[in-house]
Amino acid sequence: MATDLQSMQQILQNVFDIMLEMPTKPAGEPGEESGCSRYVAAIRITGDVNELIVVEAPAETAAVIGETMFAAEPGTLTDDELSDAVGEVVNMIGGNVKGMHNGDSLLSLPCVTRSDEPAERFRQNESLWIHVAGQPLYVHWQDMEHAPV
Amino acid sequence: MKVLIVDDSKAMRMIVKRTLARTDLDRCEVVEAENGAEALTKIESEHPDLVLCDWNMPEMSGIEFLKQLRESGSHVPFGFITSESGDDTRHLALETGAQFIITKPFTPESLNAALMPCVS
Repeated sequence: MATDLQSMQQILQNVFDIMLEMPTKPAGEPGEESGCSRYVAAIRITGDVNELIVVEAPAETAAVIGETMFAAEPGTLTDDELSDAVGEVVNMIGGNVKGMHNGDSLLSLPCVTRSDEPAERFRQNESLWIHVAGQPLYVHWQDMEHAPV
Repeated sequence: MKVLIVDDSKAMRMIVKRTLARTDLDRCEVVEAENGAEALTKIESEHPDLVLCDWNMPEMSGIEFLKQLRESGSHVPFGFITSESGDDTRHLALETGAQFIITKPFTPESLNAALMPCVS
């Protein structure tokens, strides 16, 4: 069974509000955003728990998160550093999801790609839309055990 | 006091370093490594008083690094700072010779509480 919405909200609050001191609030489902550059970070839990978690961060959101993590001036971070920051976000979420379940499971390393298109494929999964420090962030997750082939 | 921070994420190394500055170890000197293999080299050259290490890293994981460190005869205090938060992870870490394991996300207070028994 995939992680429930309430647990995911709590994990995101722990990551952003408590650790990074970046306030979050719920956001509505995004509209058409084609052409908007974004970082898409994915992590997989395999074993007794089988779950895929994807974080979709528009470039402006990735910049705000990265600047907070690196304590950097606006506009000074490289693409690799922003990918690292978004990857670490999905890593923390994945680790916490894994920790919520009993059993023997493995957490993959995060994989981050850059895209100009919304991650439509993942938006069909369980999703949470939030604002982080005023910027949109999308989190999608899916129980791969019962995923359609 | 010299602290070796081992994490493949530069962003997380920065966060750990800044959080350390908000603990009772605020005056510590920090050295960094990107994975277990590099950390083993840093142990030899830097002689840290404490190691703070991620679990899940490419090339050499945190637990493999700890195994090799203990096999080499080093007793340097060692703590994991990791997203891996299950009981099995905690058990393996302590059994292999870690003093503590704290889960990301963490706060200056939770880090300090884990560090103090280890360094005092």
